[in-house]
Amino acid sequence: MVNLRELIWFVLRYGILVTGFGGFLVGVFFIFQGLVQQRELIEKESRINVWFLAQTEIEFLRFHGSLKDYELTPSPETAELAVERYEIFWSRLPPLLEGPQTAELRTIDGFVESVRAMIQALEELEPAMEGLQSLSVVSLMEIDRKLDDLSGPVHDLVRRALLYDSNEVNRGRSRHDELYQQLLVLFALSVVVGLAVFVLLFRQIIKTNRAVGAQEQAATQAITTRNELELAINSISEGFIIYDQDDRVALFNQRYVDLHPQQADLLVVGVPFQELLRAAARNGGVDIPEDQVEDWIASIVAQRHAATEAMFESRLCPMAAGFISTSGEPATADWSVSIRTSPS
Amino acid sequence: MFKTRSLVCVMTHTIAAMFLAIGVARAEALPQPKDRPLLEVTGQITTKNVGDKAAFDFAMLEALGSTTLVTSTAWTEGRPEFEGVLLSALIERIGATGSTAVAIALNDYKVEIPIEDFTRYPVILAYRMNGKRLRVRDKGPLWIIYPQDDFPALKTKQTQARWVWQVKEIQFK
Repeated sequence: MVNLRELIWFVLRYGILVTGFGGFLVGVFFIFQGLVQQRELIEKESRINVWFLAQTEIEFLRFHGSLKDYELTPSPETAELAVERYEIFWSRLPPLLEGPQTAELRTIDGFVESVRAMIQALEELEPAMEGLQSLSVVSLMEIDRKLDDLSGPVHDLVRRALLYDSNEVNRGRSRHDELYQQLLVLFALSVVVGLAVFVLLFRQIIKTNRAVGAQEQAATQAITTRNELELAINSISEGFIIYDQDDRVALFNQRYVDLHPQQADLLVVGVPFQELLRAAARNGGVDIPEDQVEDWIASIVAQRHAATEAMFESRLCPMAAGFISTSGEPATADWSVSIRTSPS
Repeated sequence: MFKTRSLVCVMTHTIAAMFLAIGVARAEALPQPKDRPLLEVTGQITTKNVGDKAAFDFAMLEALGSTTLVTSTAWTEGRPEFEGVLLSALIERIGATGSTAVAIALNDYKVEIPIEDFTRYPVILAYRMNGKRLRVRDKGPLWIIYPQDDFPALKTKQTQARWVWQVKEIQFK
């Protein structure tokens, strides 16, 4: 049962520490997990922008390719496809000039101007594309040449945008890595400090436990010792009493009670010596006028502190003549001992 | 919290199922497109007009009823006014079943969209922007528009990818 209680205390004391430390580690784990997810987002965001820009060039190449297909095999179907590809490529350009999705791209030097120039080129091609099937070979070659001229700027636009995007991603990665390292250092410091606190607390708890154990052992020892002392003084034939530093009864034996029947009702541990004197005066143990009792007590106390017990002890007992009183010196500087012996 | 979300989820699916059930019940024969089809609907549908598909020209789409939606987009400035057909109405008309709609663009770009999006929110297949027909160069002829200003929950990267331009086909599966 005692072991179970100790176990519960052990779990409570160390459980709080371990739980706190565990909670700290879990928190750190989630912070790092968040960082990893943030990094993935940076990469993903990059891929979205790259995809859209690459798609613009792809649509240009598709348009150019479909026009070549028409040149090779002129038919309403290939013409329609070429026009559709022309429109699809065009549809990729205005979103680069407006809307929040491409706002960052527009901060690239020359980006907006390039896109506007491309739209203008497409507007110039529009009459030719509307009448594609009626165009001569020379006119088709002219469109081809314009598209060849356009391919460079389109590719350059994408290249610059990719470069910008790559730089942005790198900047994001750097910021992320910096934060990551800061958190790592903070985590390491926290772990070290946490462990130090844990060790200190652990040692303090061990010390406290030992102190409490020693105190309990001392208290038990004191009780045992007192019991043994009581047994010992009760086994002797002399009347025996000990007063503490405040002149209060600390210990006495039955023989002492027997020798002082007039104090029997009053004798308990803790009773002041002066009370015993008053009881003696009250019960006729001492022949002192009533109005002088307190003075007598004061003088007795003074004598007691200055001399041995025997000097006054004999006067306390109504049958003092029938006893021989013996007394030693005070047991310690504060405590005093009285022993009364009956003459035989 | 979990129970509430589950309840909302169950209710949404129930409403979706009701929509689909009503759609099946009300399935009527689709007329043949008189003009060049703008949209082909394929997959798990009960109402067809061209082989295994449901083909719609502009007039047929308009006949499904038009809905106006004013919202910002990631690709335009301000808050344009879009006009088009509710995708839930299209689902109802063709008796579409399944849980996913695959939107296919003119350049064969494909995106899978949960049908739940169309039953939970008034998502439209827009054919006009600010009163003008959407040309291919304007991301038309059909553009899936989400009411993201009215439903902030739709302002996510995931939903953004579902704003398909130049839709030519929707496949239900």
